[in-house]
Amino acid sequence: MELTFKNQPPVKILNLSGSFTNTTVAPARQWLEEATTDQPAYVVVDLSAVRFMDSTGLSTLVHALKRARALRGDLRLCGLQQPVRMIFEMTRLDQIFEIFNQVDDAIQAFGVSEQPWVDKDEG
Amino acid sequence: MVDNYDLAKLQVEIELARRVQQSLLPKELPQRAGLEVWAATRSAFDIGGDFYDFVDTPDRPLTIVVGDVSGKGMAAALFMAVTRRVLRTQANFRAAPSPQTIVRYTNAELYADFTNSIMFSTAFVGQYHDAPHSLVYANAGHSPVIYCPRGGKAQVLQANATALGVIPKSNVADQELVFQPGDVLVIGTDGLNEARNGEDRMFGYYGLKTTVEATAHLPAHAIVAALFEAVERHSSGDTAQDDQTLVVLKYNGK
Repeated sequence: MELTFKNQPPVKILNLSGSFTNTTVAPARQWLEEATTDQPAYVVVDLSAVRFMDSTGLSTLVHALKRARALRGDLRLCGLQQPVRMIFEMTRLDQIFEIFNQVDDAIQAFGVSEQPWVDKDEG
Repeated sequence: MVDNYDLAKLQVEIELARRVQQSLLPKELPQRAGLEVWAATRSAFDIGGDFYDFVDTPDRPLTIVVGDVSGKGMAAALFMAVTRRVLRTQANFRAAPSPQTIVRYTNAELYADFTNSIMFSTAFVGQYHDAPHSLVYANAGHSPVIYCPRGGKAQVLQANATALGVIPKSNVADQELVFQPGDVLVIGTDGLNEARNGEDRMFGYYGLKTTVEATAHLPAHAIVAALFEAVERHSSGDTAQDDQTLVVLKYNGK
């Protein structure tokens, strides 16, 4: 599994790829712990490149979600492929997480600008 | 640095934990007129969190429990024991509890512990009633659960609430399945549908449904054997990556 991340203040975005399982969750778990330590805990996890997730992967996301919401933030998911979407549906975690198709939709749902660094043309 | 002695000691402890875990599973299958019940579990190389249980108390409906604690290893084994015990206590000592009551109180009891340990557990709790012959059940995030009416198509029964330990107050609700003679209900764990072959393809819900349809005319124990065999054939006999548990109910009528 590979992970990359970026900040689009105040939203922190984690991209995962490969299999998110018992043997691969450790780096993502650490990143999520740090991302949900202080306010604002606005986190998006992009799962569009994740092929499979086991219960350890799910519990890692659930734990981070609880931490984010305890800080009045949220953890939102996007880009679930069909096998991963099915896991969320069968465990009914689709009722618990806010899930979006695109990463930009997930970011915008926090009520922040999609591209805050773009200067407006005042001319 | 783990040396050979530490590794051997760890392996012995895991094996002991596995034996304790096995000892917690029911030694006898429940008996009900017209109902066949069969259950079995196969352990993965790594210790897991699957469990099943039958609470068969006089003057109460037979309660059937299947669950799967997230993760693997000693933590999953410990939580399997705790979750099973709390579910059993709710079923045994609360006044006439329905499945949703058992699941909701178990969730409330264990939510903080699950949260502190970064874990959760799925739970299927069903109660078999004689009149009418039905199963009232509450499903907290558990799958696969497959119902196959006699001569009909197998269908996946989806949970209507998420697993234990995810939210502080479970909203799981009772559902009812009225049995006709020949109907089969299979409650498994995800080690079955997620079993992979050499091409990394999962056995899947489709594999489970077609196997259940093809074997639903057989006795419950033969359905269990056929499902395990089909999953093993799919995985080419490789050691299972996750526990595989099956409880099969077949109603034959009186």
